[in-house]
Parts: sequence; C-alpha cells; structure tokens
Amino acid sequence: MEDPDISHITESNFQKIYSPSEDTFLLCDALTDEAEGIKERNPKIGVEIGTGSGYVLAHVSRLFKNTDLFVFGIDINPLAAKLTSKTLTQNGISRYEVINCNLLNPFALDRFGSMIDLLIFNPPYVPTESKEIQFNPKDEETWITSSFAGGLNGMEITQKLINQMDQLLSPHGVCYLIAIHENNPHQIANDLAEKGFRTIVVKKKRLRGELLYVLKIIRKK
Amino acid sequence: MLESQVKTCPEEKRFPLKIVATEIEETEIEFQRSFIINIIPKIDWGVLRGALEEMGLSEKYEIGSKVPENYEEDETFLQLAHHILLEIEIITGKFVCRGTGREFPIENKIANMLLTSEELN
Repeated sequence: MEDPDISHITESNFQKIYSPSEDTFLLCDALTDEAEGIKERNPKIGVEIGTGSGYVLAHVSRLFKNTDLFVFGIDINPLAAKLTSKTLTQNGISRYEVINCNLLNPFALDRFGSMIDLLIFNPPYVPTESKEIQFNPKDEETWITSSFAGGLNGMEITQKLINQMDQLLSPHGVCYLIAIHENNPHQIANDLAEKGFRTIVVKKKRLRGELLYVLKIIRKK
Repeated sequence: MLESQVKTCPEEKRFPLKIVATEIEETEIEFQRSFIINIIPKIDWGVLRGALEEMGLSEKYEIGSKVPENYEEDETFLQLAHHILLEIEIITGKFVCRGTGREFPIENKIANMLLTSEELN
C-alpha cells in the first residue's frame, strides 16, 4: 500500500503542525502489522487523538477500507484539523469526521461511553516544563510546541488519556499509544493494569536517540 | 455526541447542543449495513429528531423518537438512518450551549469546541 498523499501540506504549514516523523511511521508500521488482528474485532468506531497532518488516520482508513470502520479525527490545533480533513479527502476517504477540540473533552462520555473500538494516540511525549504544554490558539508559537511537549516526564497529556481509558474503550476495543523510554512504559503498564487493562509492546525501536515504544492496550478478560 | 463544557452551564443543559446550520451538504458515503445496525441502538433518537428539526430537515426526513421494531430487517429504515447519520453534513454553522448561549463555530465541516483560557480558569 502506498504512503498517504500529503502533498497539499506546505512547508509553512509544517511550521505550525507536526510533520510526519519516525514515530509517525513506526506507528503506521505497527498498525499495518496489527491490521488483520484488529479486523477480527470488527471495529466500527475509530478515533485518533492528535491527528496532525492526518497521515496516520489516512493510513488507518485505507487499511480498513471497505470495512465498517468510521473514524473520528481530533486535534487541538485548528490548522491540523483542517489539514487532516483535506488529507483524508485527498486519499479518497469519506467515512470520517474531524473535530477541533482538546482530547475528548466535549464528548458526552456518560451517554456515549465505552464506544471506541480502535483508539490511536501519538501524544506529545517529550519531557518539558509543564508550562510548555499549553496550546494557545492566539499564539502560533505554541502550536508546534504543544505537538510534542509533554510536561513532567512527558506524561502530562498521556496520563489524562490513561485516566479516561475505561470510559473510552469498548469491551473489545484496542488502543495503540506511542511512548518513549522517559515516559516510563513499565509504569504506564502498571497503572493500566490497576485500571483493568493489559499492555503489550508491539514495537520497540531506537530512533534518533529516542527509544520508542508502540503500546497496545486492551481490557483484561 | 458532543456536550457543552462551559463551566457555568448547568449539567442538565449540556447535552444536546443546539444546532444552527447555515450551510448543509448531503453527500454520498458507502453504506455498510453492519455498521448502521450496530450504531442505531446507541443513538438517542429523540435528540436526533430534534437535531433534524433545528436543521430544517424534519419535514424532509420524518423519523419517530423511537426505532422501529425489527429495524435490522427494515431496509428503508436502515438506508434512512445511514443517510441522516452519515450523509448530512453541516458545512457552516454553530453549536450553541443551551445553558449559557456560548457558541461553538463550525467551519468547513469542522466544529471548534475549544474553550478559551478565560473559560478554563
């Protein structure tokens, strides 16, 4: 399968949104390898948080073409949301919805909880000062920073997702999450275990000085 | 599926958001039967009916506030549900919080649900 076409995204755009990099491609590789297994779970609702250019979501949508999967793309950055929508259309994908919001905050999870069959998140995982994680729509300098700045141990944003996992994943749902060594994947796994989830490392690769993990999270039986 | 996150909005008014649609598009998306059958029971049909009314489409698409029995075998209903749920898109408009009147703009089919830093504090 060819790579998603992102030729419509300009260099100037990439100063304000995350440009597909090694972590992006590792995640795509993991999803390609896992696709057959995921299809056996018959996923209907897919959600990617932090779609950036839309590269991963386009890749996933193509892997699941002609299946039931309908995807939601979420990004806090309005430019990323717009470009994600273009990327999906550009790659012949129509079963999607893009929303410009912070994580899944506006979703009425008490009514529509535990509905996500495939959840994907390449979070801002770089350890930084806490104040760097703030996204301010009026200050474009925060746009690119908030795409990678993860605050304390690079975990401030990821932790929010972990805390919500039970409300998000459907009974047979699966989550794919990127983490680096500094995020302490063992601690992530322990935390999730306490919450009733099993964590499996599906990819582990040293890339450009970072030890990257793709974690697969499912409910314990 | 969205609700208002405005802090001063009373809980019971957060869902559903009111829809103001300035520009609507009816598109074509491939029909996946098992997807529609699966999603139908998860939708609040009373709310959906209200949404269609707010969009000025309740005469064009008449639905009850409950799903017909044996809907899995009702081809007409499945097609209608597919059309309403997936093929009607708001290009431009807004979601409005019923508790506070706060508007969330929709542009190019994308809703901007971000709260400002003032609203977050």
